[in-house]
Amino acid sequence: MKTSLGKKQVNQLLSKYSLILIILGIALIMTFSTSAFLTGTNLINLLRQISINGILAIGMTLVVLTGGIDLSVGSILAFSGIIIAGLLRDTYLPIIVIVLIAILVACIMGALNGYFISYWNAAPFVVTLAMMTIGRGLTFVFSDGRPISNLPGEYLEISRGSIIGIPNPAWILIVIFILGTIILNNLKLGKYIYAIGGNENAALVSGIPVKRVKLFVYVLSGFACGVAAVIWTARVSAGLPTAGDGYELDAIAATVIGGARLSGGRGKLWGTLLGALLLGIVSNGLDLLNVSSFYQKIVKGLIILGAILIDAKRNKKM
Amino acid sequence: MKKKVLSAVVVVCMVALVLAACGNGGSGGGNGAGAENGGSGDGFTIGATVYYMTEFVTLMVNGIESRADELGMDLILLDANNNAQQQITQIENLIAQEVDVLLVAAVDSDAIVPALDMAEEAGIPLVGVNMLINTDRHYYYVGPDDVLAGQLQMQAAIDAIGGDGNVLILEGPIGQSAQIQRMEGNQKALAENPGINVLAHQTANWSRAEALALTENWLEAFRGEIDAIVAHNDEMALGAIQALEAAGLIGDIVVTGVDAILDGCNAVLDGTLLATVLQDAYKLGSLSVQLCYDVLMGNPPEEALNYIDMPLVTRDNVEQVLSDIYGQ
Repeated sequence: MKTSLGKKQVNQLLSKYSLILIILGIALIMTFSTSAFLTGTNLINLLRQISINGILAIGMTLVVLTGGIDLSVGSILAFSGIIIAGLLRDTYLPIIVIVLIAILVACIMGALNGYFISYWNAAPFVVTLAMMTIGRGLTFVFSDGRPISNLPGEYLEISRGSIIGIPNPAWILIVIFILGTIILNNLKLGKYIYAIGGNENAALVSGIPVKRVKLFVYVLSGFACGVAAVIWTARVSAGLPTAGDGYELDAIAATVIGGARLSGGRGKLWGTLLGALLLGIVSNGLDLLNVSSFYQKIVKGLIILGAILIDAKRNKKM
Repeated sequence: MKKKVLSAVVVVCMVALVLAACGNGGSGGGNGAGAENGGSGDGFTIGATVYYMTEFVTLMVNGIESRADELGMDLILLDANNNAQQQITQIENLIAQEVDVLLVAAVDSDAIVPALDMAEEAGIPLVGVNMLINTDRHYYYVGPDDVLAGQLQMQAAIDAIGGDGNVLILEGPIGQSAQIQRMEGNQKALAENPGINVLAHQTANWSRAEALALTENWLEAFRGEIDAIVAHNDEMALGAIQALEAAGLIGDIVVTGVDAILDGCNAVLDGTLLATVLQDAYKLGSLSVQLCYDVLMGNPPEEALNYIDMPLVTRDNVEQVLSDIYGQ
């Protein structure tokens, strides 16, 4: 009796920490496969590499928790990036002001998503799909289809610099993660978000301002896009009209791997963070192992599939 | 039960990883054997990242692989999936592996500039191939002379229509260096021929299907006015030809392309495509590895930026090209 209980507990623990175990397992394999993996430089690279997807995925998770989806993140990132690069080139505004303007624009695009989704009752998939196309089009219009480059060195420090050995992009990810966690765990807003995703009608009946909350999560997702755009633009030292193409899929993948349910109501930000870390480690490790990108795509797909299978099993139990 | 699923997932991931690693091990072995045969590579490792595995890049990679093998150099080859940020990530990963030289076919000529800093910081030389880097700084490069290609293809079209008439230009994706330079070449030829009027120019994003639709629309918009269509690559030229075929206008309107892909050469042989410009991807790949080798051995070429020949392919020499390049 006692042993079977122990076994059950072990299983529960395994299930709860499965993602961490998988990450550790893969890290272990990488460490044995290539000496380049477990080095200070590479781990710092890895932190820098996961920051953009991590930030987008945190915004995505907030949206997914309400049962929504945001397909426009890559386009919003691109548009904000072009605004940053354009303002850096054409104006003498201080960098901080330019960054704030770009983030504000991203928030407005998110707010438009949220407005149509909550006040017009339009499907999130369709509204954000439209915003994805419009955002990309605006980006091409504003950039004239060309990259905007030669950005000032101070700006590039946002991506290149580091504080006590941790690269700035990773710090930004940490701050966004903490903000997100506070929203979800310590504010009434967080309870509302989970409640809406769990059962929107019940939430409405119990007096939760459903429309406002739903609008606001898309603003937050837009905010995340704006922040990610600041890093992206500094990282490649240019605003590109094609920036962020396909990033919505990576952000959704990290969210799903992290255990969030796409129908809403369930998911944790630390899960999403681990999801982004897992995707980052796999792609970093496979690069180091010189694995062709054709195989990389298959591995990435298998991981997403694996995460969904674990999830499906868990749901059956519940 | 959960445990079973969990272990199944772990196993799947591991198997995938191990398979991938084995695939890699195999090719590594091949390189090792090359080192034994060639013996002169001094165990140099090339860390390469290419923008995307298009047909052209695949041919170029074949050239890269075979030359690296001949010179006894190891090769780590990554594909950036047309994602500029991912390419920077790959450069970081290649530097972390302490490769001896970076070989870069850039996703974007501007967004690759930070790679120059990273390479400099790490003390690793960076060689560009096929895509110029938008910088005044010194780096070695080998690539096609796209301005010349644009000039040749436009001139061929102008000559065919007798020095005056109306042309349409199907452009590559706006902002890509190949599009910018081929357009510059087009304009050079146009500047020398004031009798030519450009009715319209638009991008069809290197795509046959997009070019087909665009040409169909143009045939309606400019009915009876069009004398020539100049496409920045063969794929788009072939799309335009399909539209002309459907409209029964083959022979009335001449079409030129760039790249001399197999389908393009066959179209030149048929007479549906007037001319294309040979861009020898395999040779380009091979030369880029040679350039890496020369830089590492301390005898780089005098010129930092090197261009390969871009001969015009017409009905007169297409059979030669088909047999030389495609073995047909």
